[in-house]
Amino acid sequence: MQVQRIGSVDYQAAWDQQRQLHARVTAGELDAAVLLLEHPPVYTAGKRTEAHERPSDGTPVVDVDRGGKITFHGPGQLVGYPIVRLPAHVYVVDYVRRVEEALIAACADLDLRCGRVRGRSGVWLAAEAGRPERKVAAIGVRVARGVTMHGFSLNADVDLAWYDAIVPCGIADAGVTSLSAELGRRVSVDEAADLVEPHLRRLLGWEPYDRTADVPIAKPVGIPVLSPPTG
Amino acid sequence: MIPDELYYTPEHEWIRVDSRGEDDGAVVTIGITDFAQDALGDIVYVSLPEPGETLAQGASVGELESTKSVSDLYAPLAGSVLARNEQLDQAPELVNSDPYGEGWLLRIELESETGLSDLLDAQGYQAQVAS
Repeated sequence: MQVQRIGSVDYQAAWDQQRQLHARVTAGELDAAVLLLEHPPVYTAGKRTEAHERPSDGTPVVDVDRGGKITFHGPGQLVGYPIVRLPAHVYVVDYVRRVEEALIAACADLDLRCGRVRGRSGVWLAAEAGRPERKVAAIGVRVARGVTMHGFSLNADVDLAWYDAIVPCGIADAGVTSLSAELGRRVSVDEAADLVEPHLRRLLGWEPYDRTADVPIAKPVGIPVLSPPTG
Repeated sequence: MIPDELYYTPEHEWIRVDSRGEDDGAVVTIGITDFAQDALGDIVYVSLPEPGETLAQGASVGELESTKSVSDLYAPLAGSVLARNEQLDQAPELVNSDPYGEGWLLRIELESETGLSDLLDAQGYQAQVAS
């Protein structure tokens, strides 16, 4: 698997590069490729994104052909685009779980415990001490001719204020976080890439692996209506 | 679960022959298999061609979107679309819950019946899924 670290690349230019690699993998000229990069600030929206989830301030959004809803890419975020042939073109769940597992393993290398949340994509930290569950990595994929494109984004030390303008991935009641925010020290995109790359190589080699346990969703805190008066 | 009475493609689609053509072409219904719906994940959006559209065999004709991904749908045979399952606009999860029934995708009038003999039968498809 060829892994290319291409620095900071404009979203559209990187999308073109993805399509070229996708055509080569589809044609059998190339086995598999992964682009690791950063984007200048950009919002991208999957087709199912609803109007109220878009930026309220009129910031431009690129409409894209991946799964998932709206998300943000920008400086301080590691973006990864694995262009790989699936063993069968329908093995989407298995593929996405493998990418998630690579990201979970990279977080574990930093002593950060993460997992999946049932019914949502991405990598999450469990709710704790009054904080909701929060997402540190997002996933949105397209499979065409049995070959993947688009991929994941992992927040290393991205400015989280960028997420205030949108409803990330259409989930209003959950947070977004970064490795730096969780660890209380700066984790650069390069450091994150160094950690993610070997796990991606391992998991996209399609060997069996042990799945990390799911993160439980915190129950909403309700106010009992019929509680007896106290005191 | 692989019903005996259907035809299959290596792309995990099923084809049911509804009527053999005499004056007109044969009419088939297509969908994705139970194996495919499980491997694709929870379907949240289905995009299908409209009635009257012509499909070339093997061409990408629609999209199935799960919580994780967007995947192409391929035309298993050449023909023209007679109907698409409009119920899926409101209830795409039928593809997961009833892939061989309420979760059907398209009804197609075939250009010719010859392509049918190239499809897999239940046994052939079972062998592929097991491999």
